[in-house]
Amino acid sequence: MASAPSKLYADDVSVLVVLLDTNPFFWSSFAFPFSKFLSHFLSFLNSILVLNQLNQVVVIATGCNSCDYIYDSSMATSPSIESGRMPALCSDLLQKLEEFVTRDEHLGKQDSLGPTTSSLLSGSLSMALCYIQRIFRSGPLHPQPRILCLQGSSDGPEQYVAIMNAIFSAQRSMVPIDSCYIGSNNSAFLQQASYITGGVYQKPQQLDGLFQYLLTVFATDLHSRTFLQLPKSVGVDFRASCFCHKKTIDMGYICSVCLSIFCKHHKKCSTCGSVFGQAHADVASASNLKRKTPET
Amino acid sequence: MGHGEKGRQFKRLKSSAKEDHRKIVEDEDAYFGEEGDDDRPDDGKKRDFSKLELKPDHPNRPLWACADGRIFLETFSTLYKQAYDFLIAIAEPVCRPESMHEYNLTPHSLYAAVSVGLETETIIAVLNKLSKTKLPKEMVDFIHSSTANYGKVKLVLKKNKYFVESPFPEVLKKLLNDGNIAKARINPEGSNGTDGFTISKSMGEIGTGHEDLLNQAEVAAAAEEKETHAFEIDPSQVENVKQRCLPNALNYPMLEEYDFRNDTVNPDLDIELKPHAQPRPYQEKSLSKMFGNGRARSGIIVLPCGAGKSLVGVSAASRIKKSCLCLATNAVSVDQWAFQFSLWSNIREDQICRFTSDSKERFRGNAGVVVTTYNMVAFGGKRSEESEKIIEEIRNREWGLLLMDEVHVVPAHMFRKVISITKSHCKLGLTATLVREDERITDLNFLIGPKLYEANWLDLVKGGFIANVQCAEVWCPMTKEFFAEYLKKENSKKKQALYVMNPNKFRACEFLIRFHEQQRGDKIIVFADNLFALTEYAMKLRKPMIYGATSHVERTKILQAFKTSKEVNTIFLSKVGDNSIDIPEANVIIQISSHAGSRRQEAQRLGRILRAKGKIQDRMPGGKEEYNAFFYSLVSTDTQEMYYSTKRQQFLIDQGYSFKVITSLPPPDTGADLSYHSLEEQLALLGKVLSAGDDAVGLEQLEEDADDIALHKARRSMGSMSAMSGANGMVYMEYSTGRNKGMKNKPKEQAKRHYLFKRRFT
Amino acid sequence: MNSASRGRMPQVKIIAKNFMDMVASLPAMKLDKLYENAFICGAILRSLPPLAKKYVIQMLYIDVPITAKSMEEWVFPDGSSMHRVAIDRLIKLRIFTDTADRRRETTYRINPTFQTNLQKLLTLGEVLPREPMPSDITVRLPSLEDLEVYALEQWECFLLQLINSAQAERPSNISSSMMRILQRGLLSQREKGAPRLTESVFQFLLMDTNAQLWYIIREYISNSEERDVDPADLISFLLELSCHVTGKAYNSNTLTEIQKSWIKDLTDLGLVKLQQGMNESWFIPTKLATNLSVCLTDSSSRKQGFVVVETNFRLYAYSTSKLHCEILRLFSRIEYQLPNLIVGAITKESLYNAFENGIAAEQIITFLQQNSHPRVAERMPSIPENVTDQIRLWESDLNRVEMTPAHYYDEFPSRDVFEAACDYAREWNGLLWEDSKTMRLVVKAEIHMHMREHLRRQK
Repeated sequence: MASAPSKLYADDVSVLVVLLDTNPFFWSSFAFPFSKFLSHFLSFLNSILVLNQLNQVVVIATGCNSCDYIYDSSMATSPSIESGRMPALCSDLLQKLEEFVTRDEHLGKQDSLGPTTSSLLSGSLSMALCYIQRIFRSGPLHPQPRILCLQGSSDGPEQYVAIMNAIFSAQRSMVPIDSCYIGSNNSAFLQQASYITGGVYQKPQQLDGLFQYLLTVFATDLHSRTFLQLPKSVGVDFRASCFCHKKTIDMGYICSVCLSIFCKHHKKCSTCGSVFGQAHADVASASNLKRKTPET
Repeated sequence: MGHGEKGRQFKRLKSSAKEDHRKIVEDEDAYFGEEGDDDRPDDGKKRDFSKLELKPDHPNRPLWACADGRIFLETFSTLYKQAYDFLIAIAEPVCRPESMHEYNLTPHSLYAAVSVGLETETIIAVLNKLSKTKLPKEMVDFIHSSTANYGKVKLVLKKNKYFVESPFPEVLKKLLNDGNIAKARINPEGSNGTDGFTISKSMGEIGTGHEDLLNQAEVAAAAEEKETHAFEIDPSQVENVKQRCLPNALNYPMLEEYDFRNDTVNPDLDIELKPHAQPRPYQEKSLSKMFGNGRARSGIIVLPCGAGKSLVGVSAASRIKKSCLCLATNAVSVDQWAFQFSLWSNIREDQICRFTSDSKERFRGNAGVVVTTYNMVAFGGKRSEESEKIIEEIRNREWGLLLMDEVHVVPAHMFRKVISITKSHCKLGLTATLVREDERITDLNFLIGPKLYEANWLDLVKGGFIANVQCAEVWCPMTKEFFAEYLKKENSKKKQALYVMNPNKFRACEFLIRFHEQQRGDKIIVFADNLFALTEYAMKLRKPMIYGATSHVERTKILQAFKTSKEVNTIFLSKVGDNSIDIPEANVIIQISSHAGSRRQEAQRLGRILRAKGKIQDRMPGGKEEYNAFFYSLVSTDTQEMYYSTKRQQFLIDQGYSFKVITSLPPPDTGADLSYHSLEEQLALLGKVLSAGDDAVGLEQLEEDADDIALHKARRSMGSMSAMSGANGMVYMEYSTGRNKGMKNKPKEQAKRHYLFKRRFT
Repeated sequence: MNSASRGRMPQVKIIAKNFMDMVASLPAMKLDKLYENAFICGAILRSLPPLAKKYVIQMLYIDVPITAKSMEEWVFPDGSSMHRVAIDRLIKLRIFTDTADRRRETTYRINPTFQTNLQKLLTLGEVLPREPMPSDITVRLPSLEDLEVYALEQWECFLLQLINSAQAERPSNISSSMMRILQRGLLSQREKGAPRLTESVFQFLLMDTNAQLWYIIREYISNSEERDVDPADLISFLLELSCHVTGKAYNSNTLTEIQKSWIKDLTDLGLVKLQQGMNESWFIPTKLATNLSVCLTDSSSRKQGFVVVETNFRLYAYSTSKLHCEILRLFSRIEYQLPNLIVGAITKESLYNAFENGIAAEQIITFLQQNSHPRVAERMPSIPENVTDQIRLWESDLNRVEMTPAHYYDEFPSRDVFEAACDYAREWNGLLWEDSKTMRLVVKAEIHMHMREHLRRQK
């Protein structure tokens, strides 16, 4: 798909919405400690605010059971935010973050469906897009918004549909989604997100240099992206995951009502409930694929 | 183009010759002063109203009112529609472009307001509600003093008797103190009121249309029944009594209303609007102003050309359901109106008749509709026996409705005559422009009635009711030789001919005609006041032309061909084309010569193409017919024409139109494709112009035109003089045989030449 | 016919130079000294064009020089002009130093002082030049909105005084130092009476507010040299000021004497507000001050317009500001002044008045476009076409007639003499018109003397 959208950006004022992965299941087992990560992150936020007086940063924490805004530079209580004063920024953010994590854990305990180990990316994406819509309506002159996902947890295939919806919505609004993935394998969702919306997807190799990494790649405003060569993503994993086993597949059965993907033939669609007709047992026969129509 | 209206709007009020208005004029001076004097340093101070206090919710209110009577209205306000309706009822529009309107509060406009039933307190209350600031005291006082005496007295024709009516008996008493009126009074036998007044009840005002702006109490007050007192007067003294009541005398100007529902004396006319006649919102509004309180009010309704005035006229006649006398400006118009009556209403064939020099019909039965021209009625000379009979009938009948078309064209004295000859209960004047160069608007007010309604051109365009016109002014530089001759003193009489026959103008005209015919397949009308030019152009370009001497039959033929044939796409019209000739299919107008600075003529001509064509969706912004009408005014630069052009466009500019200036027509590379490319050709043309007689190259002397008189005061020719003295029957040409009846000024050869020319195109 | 007027176009066009251009013009040592302050590095960074900002960020953690060639590869081909602009700027500001390496290739390296301090700024946050005063001492601090209103008022008052000082309606309150600045460019001193406005002032008034502010500041700085003040000090002080926080109070006793006088001058312009407490006095920077170091493109069109121009040449300005009224009076005829509306008309006379004062049609049109009321700003075009066309046409009318002073010769004794004279005039390129039939000749005035000589010699 095309790179940065065709809207004419005359300057570099940006609104950056960062989706911060706070999944404890991920962080507890990850080599790079969360605190170090946070310090890189906070410096990055500060830099964004230094780059332009009018820049705005919003941080949404992505938990396992919930998502919430934990920082908004335009509403900072301490008025010294114009100077990007670190101490105030840090304390505000960290405090809220702590509160959020506690709450999220609490919610997890209450959840009777059993603990989920993937982070609620779809939720935070939706929240980010809602916030951005408000920016669009704020008047004829508004800064250019973009989304940055800082993610480490692996994809939750059950969120596939919601995430794809959010991605297309972002594409329609011309909001690029950048992804900085620090987990072990690549995230197919985020790769697709960045690809479709014209953002940048990167998986940093050296996490010690995360700050520099964030600064040089992800701090680039949309205006400059039309001139600068940014790192291109190597390839996009377009494979979807099947809904029954969560396996990544590249050929399978699709429900024609809700487009859910299955690796094996099922009698009924587990997502929308439509009943499938008789199918040939031969899965390998390509002509049979994607021809199943539900009887309603 | 936008030379600033130096006191233009005030001139109308101040310079009326009649002494009647002197009193008003004096008052006005106190309020309006002299505008347009740029050099005075304190000019700004006089109009500095910045000290007025803004109300806290002022962004929600749509208008500002200044102490000098000027009102500004924001069109993008949510209350715009209601505010517009209200303002148009109480004030005169100065200009109405897209975002901001300006209005003037004048004694006349307030008179009109009161005539449609708005009371003083209502006016002040609503204005206050709509105003961003507290109403200035001067304005409130002005409204009070202007309306104090208006609307208190009505003249009602009931059962063939004239009554002077008022809800205030003390006012009637005051009137009767005047000798003239007392003499005119007919004393009744056995009356039941004190002082011999008859007392009756009259209905209150229904549907003022300002319900949402007034509170409950105010609406109720307007609608309640009122007790009225009246006394009768001698019918022959009506005019006298009206005169005595005018502002210069007793200052109780009378409103005229016709209680047609209770009129049992005059025979009813069985006429109804056909179901397919769907009046548009603005047409409804104008009718509601006329029939507001159940009676029919006399007055003038102003609608842009092509917006459907005829439907309004026919609807009015259909509501009154009494005999109707319809007056038009010429025979073609008469046919049109007769056609419109049949089209919109279910009137029977035998109930409608036309009275022109060609047709002398009569209707059968007690009641009917007669359509005729002003001249036929006002004609003072000898008539044929048949005509005489018909005129006698017209004179003797008591008409329910006197429907007058194009009131702005007809001179005041002709009105006077017509109104004195005919007896009618209600008079409705229809027009597109209330602009006259002789500033005799005031006469119309008191002869016919106040302005009842005026539609907004831009709103009608937005609503898709009239076409969206692209107006352009094409600047044609004079060629060296023509310009040299133009500047010479001995050619002063030929000035117009020279700048109209400018070869560059010719080329531009030719180019435009070619472009629109070939590339767009449009229907084009070319207007030219100057007969010499008209003939030259039409002959050179081989197009048919219609002018004063063209016979009725001839005209119909040409117009028919224009309408239907693919071969005839362009016609040339002289001044006759200005009024009423209805050519709905034309969508391009090119003006090569025009009538000095006549704003009315400019607006009239534009009206020829205002009829909206095509589907309404296409006409909306972005649609394929968004601009499907074009109005070109070709002007020779550095001549008088430029000045006149600016003046002419003023009216249209005030309605919100804008003229684009085109300086490069025809494209420089067209060269020999167009005529008069070579110097010899141009010089030959120049020779022709110079050698033609002075009279021949002047304006066409058509029927007497009051604008003409006003604009050419310096060079009044014989024709106009005779017209002024009342012998205008001799000047106006009613052509039934095609013979030159009255064109005294045209030399014979020219007539012959036209005849030959006509032959070629028959 | 059109008046054959002087038909002048303005000779001098005022160029609004960015404040940062002045910073860039400081000598190397001074700049380096400035970069020792982290907050100044931040301010400078913010003032750079977006691409230059990116380059600084890229180079921030690189310690070795990078070749110019490889840098060029960072951009797409169509961004090469922006690339050059960015590099130029960085070099001018001595953020990048260019050296030739062993292979005679140009390389760039980031200024080490700048680098260190910027790194510190980004990771640790900045240390401000001074601390705001504690709030228990500073009572009655104006809110941000009030402060903005104050700044605007001061600025408008200043501009109005500028206009009025020429109209001599009121004695001006402008301090003498300011007056001297204005006299240089905008006012011209007459022998007696009030100074007169020059042509430039009219153009100045139609400029964007920021551009006007920079112009004044620039003049103020240039002027400081004459007062034995090192402009570099003033510039760095102004830069420092722009790093303060809008709306916070800072103790005046942290200022040196000369800085105190500067602060006083800046209050005239609305950059700071002075307040007095019981024992202390303090100054509060306004947005005008903190915006000084902002990049040119950012803040240009962020203020709301207020002018509506209609197709019938009437002008409606939603404003109560006397300044706006004066500005509109430059080219239109003001007719009504209402509490929140100014009504005027653009007429031929009013425009001719403007043209005679040296204002160009384009300036007027640009002013109207930039200040269009939001309601009509969306319209395309925001000013009706027929109005803009007509303004330009009226301006070109003034240029229709070209005047050349000349001399007219006739009554030549013979054809030969006539022909010779024509040739002679042609040689000098001064022949304007000739009529050989009647033997008449018009030549440019400048060769009149020569012609006379020539004709005398003929005799």
